[in-house]
Amino acid sequence: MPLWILLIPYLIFLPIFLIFSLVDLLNAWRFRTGFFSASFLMLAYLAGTAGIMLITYHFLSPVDWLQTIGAGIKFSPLGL
Amino acid sequence: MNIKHLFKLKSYEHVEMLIRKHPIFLIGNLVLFIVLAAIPFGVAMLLQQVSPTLLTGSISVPIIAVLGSIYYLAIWLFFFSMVIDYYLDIWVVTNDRLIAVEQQGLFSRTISEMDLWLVQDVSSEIKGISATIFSFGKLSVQSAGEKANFHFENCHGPNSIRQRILALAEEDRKYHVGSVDLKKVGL
Repeated sequence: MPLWILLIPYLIFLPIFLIFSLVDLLNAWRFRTGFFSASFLMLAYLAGTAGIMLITYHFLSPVDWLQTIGAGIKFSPLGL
Repeated sequence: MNIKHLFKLKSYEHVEMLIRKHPIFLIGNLVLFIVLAAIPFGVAMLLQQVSPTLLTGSISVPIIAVLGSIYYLAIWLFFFSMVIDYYLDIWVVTNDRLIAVEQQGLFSRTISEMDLWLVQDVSSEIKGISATIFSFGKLSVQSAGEKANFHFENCHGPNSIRQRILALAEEDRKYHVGSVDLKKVGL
């Protein structure tokens, strides 16, 4: 299995995650009541998301994607 | 305090109370998040015992990283949604009315209002060991009018809130004594 195929579910998941996150953040912002700071809540969420993405990048950046994409094309119908 | 998006306060109106679920439910969600976040570490430890090469392989590492990233982003979003749900389920009690805001999932919420002078009965119910220890329970407000009654599950300190709402309702009723509305609903 070419490795780049793995990125397809990830690229499908990310926009869904982004939409849900934006709705949540918008809800928190529009209906903030001051019980505890909505800004802090949003900041914590964004920081956590950035952290997860950074760790993912840390693991994925050493991967030679050009080579794997090339290998994927070579062994996929596109390369035939 | 910024609640102008929920409703507009009248000129003589001020907020008396904000009622939310007991924070123990937020802590419960946090514990669930920690447990879910710890699962992949347990799986990794198991894999290290069973097949150590899987965690160092040139193909398996990106696969695990992508799946792990999807998993962690999903539970992080789930946890944040739980917090938002807790944050947005709220009762606002002013000196004039009771406003119940209920968040249902991500995309829908219900906002209902009840005039305090219409409050006929307020009951609180604390059931079970944990509810007794942490002082949370169900609060029900019965209206004298045709409007639906209000119920709030797992609110913090329902007994003191009940007393406070009854006192505020009594206070507000003084401004409606002799009014046609008051006689109409039989108060």
